[in-house]
Amino acid sequence: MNRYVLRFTKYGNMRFISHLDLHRLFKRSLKKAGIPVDYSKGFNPHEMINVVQPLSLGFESDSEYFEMETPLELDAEKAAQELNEFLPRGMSFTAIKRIPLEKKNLSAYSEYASYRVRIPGVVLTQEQAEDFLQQPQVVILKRDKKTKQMVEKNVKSMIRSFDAAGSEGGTVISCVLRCASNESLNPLNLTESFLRYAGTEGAGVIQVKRLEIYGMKEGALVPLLDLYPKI
Amino acid sequence: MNNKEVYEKLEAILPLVEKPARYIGEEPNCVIRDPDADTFRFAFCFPDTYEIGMSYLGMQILYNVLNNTEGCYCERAFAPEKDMIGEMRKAGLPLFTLETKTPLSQMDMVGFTLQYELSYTNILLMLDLAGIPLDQKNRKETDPIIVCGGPCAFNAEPLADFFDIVMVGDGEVQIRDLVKLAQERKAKGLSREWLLREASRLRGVYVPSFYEAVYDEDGNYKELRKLVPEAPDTVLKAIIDDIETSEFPVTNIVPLIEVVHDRSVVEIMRGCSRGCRFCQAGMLYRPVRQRTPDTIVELSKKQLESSGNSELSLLSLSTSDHTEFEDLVLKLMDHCGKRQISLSLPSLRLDNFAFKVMDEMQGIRKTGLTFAPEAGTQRLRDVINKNITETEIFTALDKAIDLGWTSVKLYFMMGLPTETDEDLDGIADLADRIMKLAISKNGGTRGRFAVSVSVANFVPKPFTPFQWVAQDTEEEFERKHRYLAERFRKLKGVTFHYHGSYTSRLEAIFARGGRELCETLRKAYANGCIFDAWTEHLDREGWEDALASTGIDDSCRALRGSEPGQPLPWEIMDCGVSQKFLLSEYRRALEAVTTQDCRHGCNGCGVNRYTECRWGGIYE
Repeated sequence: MNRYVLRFTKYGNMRFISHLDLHRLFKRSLKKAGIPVDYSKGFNPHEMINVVQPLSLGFESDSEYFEMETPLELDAEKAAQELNEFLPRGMSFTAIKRIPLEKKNLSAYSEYASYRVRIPGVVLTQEQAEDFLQQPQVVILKRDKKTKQMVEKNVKSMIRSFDAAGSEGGTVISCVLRCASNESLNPLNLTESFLRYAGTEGAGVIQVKRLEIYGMKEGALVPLLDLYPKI
Repeated sequence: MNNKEVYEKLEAILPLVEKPARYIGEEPNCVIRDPDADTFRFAFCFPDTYEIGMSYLGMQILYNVLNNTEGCYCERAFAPEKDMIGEMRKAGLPLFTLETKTPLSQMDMVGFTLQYELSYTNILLMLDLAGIPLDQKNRKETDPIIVCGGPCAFNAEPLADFFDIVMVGDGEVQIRDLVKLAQERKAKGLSREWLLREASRLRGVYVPSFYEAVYDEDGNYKELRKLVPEAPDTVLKAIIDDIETSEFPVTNIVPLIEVVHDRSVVEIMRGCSRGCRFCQAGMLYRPVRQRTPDTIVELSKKQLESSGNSELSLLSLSTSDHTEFEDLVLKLMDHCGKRQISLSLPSLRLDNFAFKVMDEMQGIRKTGLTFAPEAGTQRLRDVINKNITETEIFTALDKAIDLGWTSVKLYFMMGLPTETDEDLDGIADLADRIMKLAISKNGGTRGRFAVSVSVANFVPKPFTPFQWVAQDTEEEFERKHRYLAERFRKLKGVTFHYHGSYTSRLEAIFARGGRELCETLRKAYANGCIFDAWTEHLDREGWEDALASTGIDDSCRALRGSEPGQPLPWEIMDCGVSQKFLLSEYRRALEAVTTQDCRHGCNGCGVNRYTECRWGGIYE
């Protein structure tokens, strides 16, 4: 068995492709490229493929990660190229790496993700962002999965950084937020909270792009792909 | 509005709607081109949601044909869901093509496929959203030519006001001929009128505006009177003599979201020789034509390869009837088995070979076993000429239960001609006896065995031997539903489903109605009726008002039927099968006399007047 991780982009309209649909698309690409996938053992075998940390519908991304296990030893670069042929415009595999087999999947290593949020029509400053973070509690509104009611949640501990740069066209927020399997913070929720704090509403569609997903190594953020040495 | 502006407006509303990926296009294998002013632009429209339309093979066939036609670029459009309709109207965004986001109003030709009657209001919706005049008489020289095809086009009278051109029969060759004429019009700057006149000479092409419907003083349909002398007296459907060599797509568009059928599909046969008297497809698609196993395997391979699909399905009206079926299935099993591709064989007759196949095919879950006896007694099955016997059902079941099957689905119709309560009893009795068989084979207990019975309401269709019969009234359907529900209430482990009778009534009205319904349709759409095939969207009040205000009630011919010999609105069309044959089949039906499968001897349906029927009497 061989385990590979691939980094891919999600631009333009591909931001509307859901997590489940991505799975189906990748399964198809693999089939088309003639790359067989291993199956898990057990009563209901499933393909050993995984898209790390689902991205919210409507977000773009520079760096998403897809891992898979195959009985073949691949010519990695060639495989990525073949897989790309099938992918729609806006999606492509930009790196591939063979990584050691292990029980945990890559999602278990994800700790933080960085985002860039564009808010059109509203000019907000770095000072406002700092004040926002200085609050004793940073509260977002979130829909409770069970009761479907909007509930408040303090997310201060989940923000690693949150910076704002305003210009004529609007505001660009750069932030690094918790993105782990047990907890994660949606940048859109946080941005909406920031807008409420600043006493304004966005004009137009807020655009979110994920830039990178990070694991931790010796206390520092490391892009998921770099957690492993090349083998 | 240009496509850049469409794109910008779309950007703003996509985040607000459910499943935005329905509206983005960009799927693998979709054809993206950069058309210039000379390119002939065609929009293929399916008047229902993306998920339904993308599961329809006919669209992929014609998309392929049109995009392989010199100078022609075919794109797609579907009916947007209600949330999207609201956002589009708010933003002033017209209906656009998925490929290049071009407003439909800028196409040269817009084609709709008519697959079921309850999609008709969605056609008006799509034209309206596109800003194209609904009525063909209001269209200007620069508006697109609006055309349609598909099974319901054989009686397009309820839509006559809205279409410039109606096409009947096999579309592959015909649509290219029509597009060539329209390309000539575009190149030479000729009028719409020129195109309609030239098109009306083509096989299978009907121009509704060249005729007017005449009614007698009681409002009964009398005839279609020609307004243009050279318009044909009858329109004979287009026929492909052989499908073995006809164009078939191998690089099908692969939807990015889950659609109803997510699989590769190869059409193995067109037509059916069984002659069930209620079945419109069985009459319309004659004669039977088939592809050879080698071609089917080749097409399957290519389609699977280009799509990365992990399921292959075969399409036909009766899969097991392919003359080289066993050879075909063995070849496909060999190909699919090695590649972890599952093979689905719909409408498979459960004979020994079928069981062998199912036993060998890996990953087949032994659950869904399906029979369609259609009627509860042998007498009524003889009336409808459905040649399935109880012996066949029980022989197959006996074996299936041994092999581990635990559930059976049975499909029936109610409201068939000559039906009595005894025939309804027969439905419940059959389910009861199946359950008893399962219990006795399972050592006296039911275990997990379940029987599901689904009963549809019979809708009489044009070009069938039952085109003259009355449909049961809503009250009668409902009485029968209650009657059967009561019988089923006592049967443990048997579930009973039936369809809403209102839907079936609307279907009947539009299946057999005439031009008087154009106004009804207009009114229903104005009342907000769309997506009528979806129970959750069907607006009964809107329809009641539309029907009442246009004078359509239970006494209309479409519901109450007519005597043979009285004029029928669809007689302008010739589907190949003669009216004489249909009438003789109707008379035999009333006497419960069956007619043999054409393979055991030609029954003289008449289609071989126009093409060679290779199946008549091959088993004689």
